[in-house]
Amino acid sequence: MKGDFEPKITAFCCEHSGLLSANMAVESRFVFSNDVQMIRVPCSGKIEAIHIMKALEEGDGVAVFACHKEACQFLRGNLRAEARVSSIKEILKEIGVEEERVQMYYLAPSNGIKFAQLLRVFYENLKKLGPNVGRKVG
Amino acid sequence: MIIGERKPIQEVLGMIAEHDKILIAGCGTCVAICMAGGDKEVSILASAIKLARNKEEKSIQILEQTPLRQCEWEFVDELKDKIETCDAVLSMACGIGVQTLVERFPKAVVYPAVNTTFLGLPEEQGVWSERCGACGNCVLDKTGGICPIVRCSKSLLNGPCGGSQDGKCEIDSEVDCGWQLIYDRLKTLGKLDNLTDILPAKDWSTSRDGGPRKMVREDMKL
Repeated sequence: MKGDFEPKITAFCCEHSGLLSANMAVESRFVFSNDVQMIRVPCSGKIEAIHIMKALEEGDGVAVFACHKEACQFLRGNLRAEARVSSIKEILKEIGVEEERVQMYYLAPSNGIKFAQLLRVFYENLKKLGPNVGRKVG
Repeated sequence: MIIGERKPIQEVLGMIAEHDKILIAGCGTCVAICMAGGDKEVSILASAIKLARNKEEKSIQILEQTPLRQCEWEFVDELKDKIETCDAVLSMACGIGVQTLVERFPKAVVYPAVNTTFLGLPEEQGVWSERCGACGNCVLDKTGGICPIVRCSKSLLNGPCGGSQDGKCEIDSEVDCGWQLIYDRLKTLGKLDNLTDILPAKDWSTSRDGGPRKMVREDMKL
């Protein structure tokens, strides 16, 4: 069953790093699963906890691609995102949903290969976890 | 303002275990400012409950609404229609909000999703601390505007105990000694003489010792 399972992923991408790397990965013809929904944000700090929770209601995993810690265009946006991701992981632990379904990644704006690798690892991990049991039915 | 903290989700799930349709009612005042029960927190809790219930294959319908205040009849009346269609209400207000709903909607089953913790202020973003014990007989005029009831761990009225060390309290090295704060403040104000006035034993009947408190202002009645 898990072998046939295609995880539905939401990837929030900071437009100063994750999005540029994602574009590079696409141009380099790395193949993404059709079930990856990319969401562009002006800064990872713009992502609220509820955005991640809503994405989890509809999917199997959420990845946040942010700038390296010292390189946020807005100074602390990625640190805020990190704190929010941590708080979501705590909630998931409380309700017994695997916290690995939410991950935060840091990368440079021109790293298409790393973006594709990180997404691939996330995808494979979600495949191992199987479907999100908390996901909305139907 | 009133500071609150969301209860553990498992505790909340236990309260609503038998219900299939609930309203989560936030409050747009104190608990919204301390990020415990405003509209954002209502949505996050709703989402967490849905995930948890889907996991148990026991889906739940959740309505959400956050009136500006949950501690006044006029504001909670806007919840009436939704409350009537739900099995239960999960209030994310302070304990006052929960009881306002109970009194206004006697047939509704209302559960608290927030622990009301203290009266305080946000020292900085994400940090809140206690400032008032609502003792009903304020002595801030005598202590330089720093409350000995809540800033001193023992609520002492006439100076520190022997546990005050280097300006910190013996209960925790991170906690300021309330009486050190008072002394420093009075020194800054040039009012150290205040400390020679002995405060008499406090009459706690204006606080919790006097039973449930009630205030009536005939001049304000309609």
